[in-house]
Amino acid sequence: MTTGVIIGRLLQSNVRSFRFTCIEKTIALPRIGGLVCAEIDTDLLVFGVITDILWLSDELIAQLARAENIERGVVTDNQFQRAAGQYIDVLSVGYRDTSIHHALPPRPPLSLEQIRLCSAQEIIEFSGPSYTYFRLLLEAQDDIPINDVVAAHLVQAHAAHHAGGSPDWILGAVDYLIELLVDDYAGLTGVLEAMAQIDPGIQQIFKE
Amino acid sequence: MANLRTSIGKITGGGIKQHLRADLDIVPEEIDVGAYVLILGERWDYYALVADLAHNSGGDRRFAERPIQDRLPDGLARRVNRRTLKPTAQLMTNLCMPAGDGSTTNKPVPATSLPPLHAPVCLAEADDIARLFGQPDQPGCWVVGYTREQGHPVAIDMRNLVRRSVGFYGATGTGKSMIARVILSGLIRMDLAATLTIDLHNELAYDDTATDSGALIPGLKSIFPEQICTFGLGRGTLIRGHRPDRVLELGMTDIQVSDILLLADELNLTDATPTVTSALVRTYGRNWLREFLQLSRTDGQAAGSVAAWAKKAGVSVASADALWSKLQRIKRLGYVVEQPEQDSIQQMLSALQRGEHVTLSFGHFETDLDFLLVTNLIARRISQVWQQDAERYRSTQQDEPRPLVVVTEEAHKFLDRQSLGQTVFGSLARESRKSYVTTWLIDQRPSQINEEVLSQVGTRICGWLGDERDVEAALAGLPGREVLRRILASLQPNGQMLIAGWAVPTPIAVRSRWYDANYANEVRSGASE
Repeated sequence: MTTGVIIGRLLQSNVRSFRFTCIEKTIALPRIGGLVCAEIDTDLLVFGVITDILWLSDELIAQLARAENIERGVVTDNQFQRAAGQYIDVLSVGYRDTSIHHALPPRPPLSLEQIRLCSAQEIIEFSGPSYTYFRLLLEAQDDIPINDVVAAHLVQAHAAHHAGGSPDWILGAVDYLIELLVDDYAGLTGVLEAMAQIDPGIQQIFKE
Repeated sequence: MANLRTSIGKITGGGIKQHLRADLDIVPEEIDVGAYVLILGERWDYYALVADLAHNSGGDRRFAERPIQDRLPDGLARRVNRRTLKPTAQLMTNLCMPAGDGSTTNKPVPATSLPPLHAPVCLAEADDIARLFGQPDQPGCWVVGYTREQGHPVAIDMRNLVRRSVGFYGATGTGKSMIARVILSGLIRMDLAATLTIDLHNELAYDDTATDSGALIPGLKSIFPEQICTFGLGRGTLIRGHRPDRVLELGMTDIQVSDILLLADELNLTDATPTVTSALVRTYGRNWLREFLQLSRTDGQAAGSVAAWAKKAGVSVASADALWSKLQRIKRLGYVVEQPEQDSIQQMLSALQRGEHVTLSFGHFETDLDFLLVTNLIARRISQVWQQDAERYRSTQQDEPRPLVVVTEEAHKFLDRQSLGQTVFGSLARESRKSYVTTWLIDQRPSQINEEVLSQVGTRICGWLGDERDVEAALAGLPGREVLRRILASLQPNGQMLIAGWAVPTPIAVRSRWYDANYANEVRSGASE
């Protein structure tokens, strides 16, 4: 199986979530809704969905921000070379031992473990059999912009499935989502509105 | 069987008494009240009728209250609506089969248990309908229509149908006469009973043209040229330009006092009439009418005058005079003759006794007096003959009478509420089932038919009815009337019928089989469906 590129290393974790930072050359790769994975040990891989990307300030950043003119090189250097304040939050949505499980991992990954951005093939493998990992996303804490996270994830996963020959994956995903959110008008419409905003072309699938 | 079906919903509550509740996964317009569904339980498959439909108020009510089309692209909004705004169906279940029993010969049994919650609900397939009502290709079964949702053929076991009277009801233009013709032609094709079709308006025997579409409506004679014997009322009468096979004439000796008394309203007879007619019978015997009408009225004292006879018979001259003048109407009827060339009523009865199929067209005789006189007289003779035959069979167990079906349109003319079943036809409709005679009543105003007669109607085949009293009368005596009322209200104004009662194990709404030239060709070729 084609595996995704390594994009960072783990900073902190618990079974529900983990936080990592990117290595220098992959800072621009993570997007909210993206599926990443990290090894817990040789035969145990945790999957998670990126829920937030933070850039924290420090004294130097604060001073530079207050300056009237900064050279572009200085900006780029601080954005990509220093990157001291980058944190990427991930919600655990499943794990793989001998098979895929849409449940919290038995234990969290360890610090400095490599984080990989899942390949299209890995996305299909993880999300293909069923949509049951959605519940772990929807149970997220209130401070996560979950509607947009879920919408972004659906769009990215749909792209992988579509390219992999399963354009109807998104239909089942939306149906499952409706089932989960039938009692939550605001939540469901929020996710679907966001999805239509992120990828206006996706509505073609629903017209057919 | 079960795994090949497509579920349209699942059981989510309810009970037998207050009906089962099912949440459906289809849009409301895809199913009608009156549709048949199968509930797939673990031990039993339950047949159920959709008794009511409602929008589901479960889940977040905002999905119903706020149109999501305003916020989402059309296709996506439609998908959300289909899954959040699910209709709920009330299901009336009364029959079941062992789960997965694909046999076409096993008949469903009464349901006495509940299907489990979440049991899948599926639209009934053609085999289910056939198992319930009859196999289209089974001897004795005739396809009368098709289920409204999926067009599965609905066949009725005609052997069962002819054991009780049938009411074909419906407002004008609903197609009650058409489905009656479909069923009647099926009966003739299968030759399961003798039939007498009283064709008041000359529409049934020979080809006719639909008033609205101009399409050909085949006559029974053109479908069954060999099996049908057409009678026309009165010598020289042409029916739709055709000379009937036989002429029906009434001899004056055929007419009894009771036949005249039944015409009291039509002839405006007085209370003294029974006294006068009794005296006439005492004087002239069975020739009373002929002899009476031959009396003169010109000279009150002369021999051979009405007055002279009245004085001699001891009845009021004025009453006798009045009756004489009123009975002149009978004398003037073109089909009433002093001495018919042949006993055509007996010819008709003999044909029916042999099990043949007869139509009686009235030609240009179209007054209520004609209808009442002729039908009551024939009904009286039928009643006498079939009662004798039935009694003889019961005592000897030999020569079982062949069932006879008497079909008439505008049944309320002979069976109205005021007459309270006094007419001979009323007695025939009420009481002759045990004598192997049943009546098929075609009428748009069942509420005008005598209640006792209505109560003897076993099978109701009913189109849309606008008048609440007619609905009440059409469904009188049937269980689950509230449900049936809803189904009736859901029928299209033309070509859809509710069939309920004796001949069907459970009510069903059908799209009627279309009675036209194609149908006639199918019947001629022997096809049931």
